[in-house]
Amino acid sequence: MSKRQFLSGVTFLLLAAAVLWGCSEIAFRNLRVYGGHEGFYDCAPGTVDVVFIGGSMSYAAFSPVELYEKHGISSYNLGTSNQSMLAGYIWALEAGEYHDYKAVVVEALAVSMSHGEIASDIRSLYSMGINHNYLKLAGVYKRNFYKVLFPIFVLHDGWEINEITFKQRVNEDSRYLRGYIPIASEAGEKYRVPLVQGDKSATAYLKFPYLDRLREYCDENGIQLILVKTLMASNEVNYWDDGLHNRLQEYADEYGIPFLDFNTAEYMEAAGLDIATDVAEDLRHMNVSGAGKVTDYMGKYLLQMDNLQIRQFENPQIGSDVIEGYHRIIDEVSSR
Amino acid sequence: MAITSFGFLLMVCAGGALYYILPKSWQWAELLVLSLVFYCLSAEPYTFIYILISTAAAYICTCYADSRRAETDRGRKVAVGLGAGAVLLNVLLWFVLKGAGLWMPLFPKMASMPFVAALGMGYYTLQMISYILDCYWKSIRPQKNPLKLLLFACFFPQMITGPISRYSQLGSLYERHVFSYENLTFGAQRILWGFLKKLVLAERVGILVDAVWSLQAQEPVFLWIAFLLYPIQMYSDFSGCMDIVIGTAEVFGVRLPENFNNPFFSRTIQEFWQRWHITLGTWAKDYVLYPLLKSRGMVRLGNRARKKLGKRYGKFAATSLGMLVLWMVLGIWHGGVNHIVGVSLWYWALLMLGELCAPGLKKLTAFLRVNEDSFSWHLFQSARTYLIYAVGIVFFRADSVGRGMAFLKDLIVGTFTGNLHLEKLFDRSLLQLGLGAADWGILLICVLLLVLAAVLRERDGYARRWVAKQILPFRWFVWLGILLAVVIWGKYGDEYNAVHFIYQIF
Repeated sequence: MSKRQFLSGVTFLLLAAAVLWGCSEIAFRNLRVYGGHEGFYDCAPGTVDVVFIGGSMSYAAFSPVELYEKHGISSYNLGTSNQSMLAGYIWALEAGEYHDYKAVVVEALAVSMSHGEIASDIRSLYSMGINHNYLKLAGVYKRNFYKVLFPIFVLHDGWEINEITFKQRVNEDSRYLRGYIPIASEAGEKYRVPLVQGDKSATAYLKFPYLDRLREYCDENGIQLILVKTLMASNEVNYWDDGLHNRLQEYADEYGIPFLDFNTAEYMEAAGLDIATDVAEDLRHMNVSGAGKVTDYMGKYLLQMDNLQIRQFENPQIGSDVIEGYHRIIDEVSSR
Repeated sequence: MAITSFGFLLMVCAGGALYYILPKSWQWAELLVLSLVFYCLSAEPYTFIYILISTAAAYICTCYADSRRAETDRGRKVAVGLGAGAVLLNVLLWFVLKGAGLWMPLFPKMASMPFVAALGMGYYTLQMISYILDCYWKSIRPQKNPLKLLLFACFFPQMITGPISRYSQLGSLYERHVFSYENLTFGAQRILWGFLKKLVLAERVGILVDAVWSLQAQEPVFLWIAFLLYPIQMYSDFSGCMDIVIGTAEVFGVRLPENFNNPFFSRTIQEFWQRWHITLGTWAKDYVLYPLLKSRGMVRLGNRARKKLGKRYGKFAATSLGMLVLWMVLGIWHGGVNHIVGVSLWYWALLMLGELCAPGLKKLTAFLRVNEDSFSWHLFQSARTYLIYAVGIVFFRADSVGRGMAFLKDLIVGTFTGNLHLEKLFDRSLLQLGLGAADWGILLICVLLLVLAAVLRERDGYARRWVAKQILPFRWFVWLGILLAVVIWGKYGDEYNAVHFIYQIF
């Protein structure tokens, strides 16, 4: 092989890599799933005290602006569709590099999914860019490391560049919503059956490898880990039940982690939640009303924790314009 | 391990790099190790024992036939017995394990028994039979190194769907290769082209065809779509696999025989079978048809037929009998009753009819003053051949002869009873068949690309050689475009079931 041929081959490979990377950027910057990570990088360093992680249940239930408006707590919701605990853990690490946050609230359904499908994990994390935290995925998906480097390879999972993918555009209002995504619909009366019935004998044989890692990370950095399961309604596919509740409660008790399950009568009553009016029509997510109540409860809960040194009403980024924009969006969504 | 997987590509890259770093005398040994690794990753490792048995049988009988012991009368008889035994052993192993579909219905109690055939059994069995016979016919010298013979049987790229190589064609397997930039780039380009055919085109057409075949109430216009597109699926699937296989071998400097030569440009069904699955066709001719026609019984039969029917028809009768046996063997190799009855008999009948009518048709075209060299006449003949082929493979696609007949009946009855409803082609009804509008566009582009490549091949040899003559930006644009098309539009990966090649089952 001559020198010219060698150079030509190498150049072609580099060009191919650049094209694949460029396509990944174009596709994933524009087609990303729900979640408001863009705004996260706009936050001034060291200004977020609480982060929320988890799947869509997280981004539909915890409203950072509401939390600030009512309790003065600066937070950001890093939930994304189908976020697994692996992706949540990596987001927690990423957040730790920008903010000296005091508490991380994990929506518990993500805990039961230690890592998801590679496509959803890449979609959950790609907005952080290909940095050292993102590349932790390559260590997990060893056989598919090339997909981590060039996510265009997972886009074919919808060769499928179809209407649905386009609809799942990043929320342009993330500056005002800080990762929260409001849902307006209501479950209605007929689904008013709590998922957790108090059956102590039920259990789920699950291990939580990435929750373990997050717990260790929190211990090392003095961060309070809190597990929360948001309220869901009973339907033919129950994503949450006594077995999962008991298993997670067992884990939480073992490591002294607070676990707030809003599907239990205790927390449902304490937060004033009602399945019919506070859960969305899809029976899985909190609606605007439910998110308001859960967020309010979380605010009170966080402030009464003695060990947390939360700075109330100190975040200059959540000014009146943000709060105004937030209420405008909520009003728009509620009126649909 | 699917040959469309990233793991396979990684294996080829790493294996290829090592191949040219290692001392050249070790290269064949590396190919053998790679083949074993590929086998273990792609099939039940214990089934490799069947390949070992076949190879051992071929090795022992051919080495004995080549030894001094075989020079005596008794030795010759022993050698012939050993050779026949080795061939029979290969056939028997294939019949029990791979041809279970033929005998299993007679022994339903055995249906629950786990008969697991070796990977590529249909292909390597034919290779080993040809090797044994070639050695006995003194066409080749037997391989004295059993491991090299094992490599001939299990060379990894051809374990999925062939091609069925002859020993004499695979001399390059044992040669010492120096790194060649041309081999590397042409091999990689051919692999990429194969990916495009398989992952972008064949899989898309497959969705359409499967959707129509699974519909209970079938619209005739949809039946026509499935009928006309299934040959394209077959071609892009099988020849796409061949491109990947041949391209992979090329990276290692090994030349495998071609299996396709623009079959849809064929003017007659005879020509079609000389351009489609070429290695199987030539194998069947060389090891079934010609020996059969030269056998004493057939020669005697031919002589009698000539006396009774005259020279032309007597020869035709003997040949058609030989061809019938050949097509039956091909049907049996494909392993299904529907294939034997539906496909083999159909093509045999058409071939014989073509042979019989050829002189009359020639006179007719001369009488009508048809310009046989004109494009339009060629197009008409190619379209006719395409339709004949399409009818036959309906039985290949169908689960049974009855299902195939029902499909053709619905197609014909629906067309001639005014239920064709061509307007369904334009009222978005086609979008019910599993493909969106964009996918139809991609499908169309791919078919046009296929036609373009075929035209370039007819004119300039390989299309990639034509591309190689172009200026650098154009060349890179072409290959990067194909790469992107495969990556973005291809159907592959963990989210889908492993994509198998249609001919992988044989």
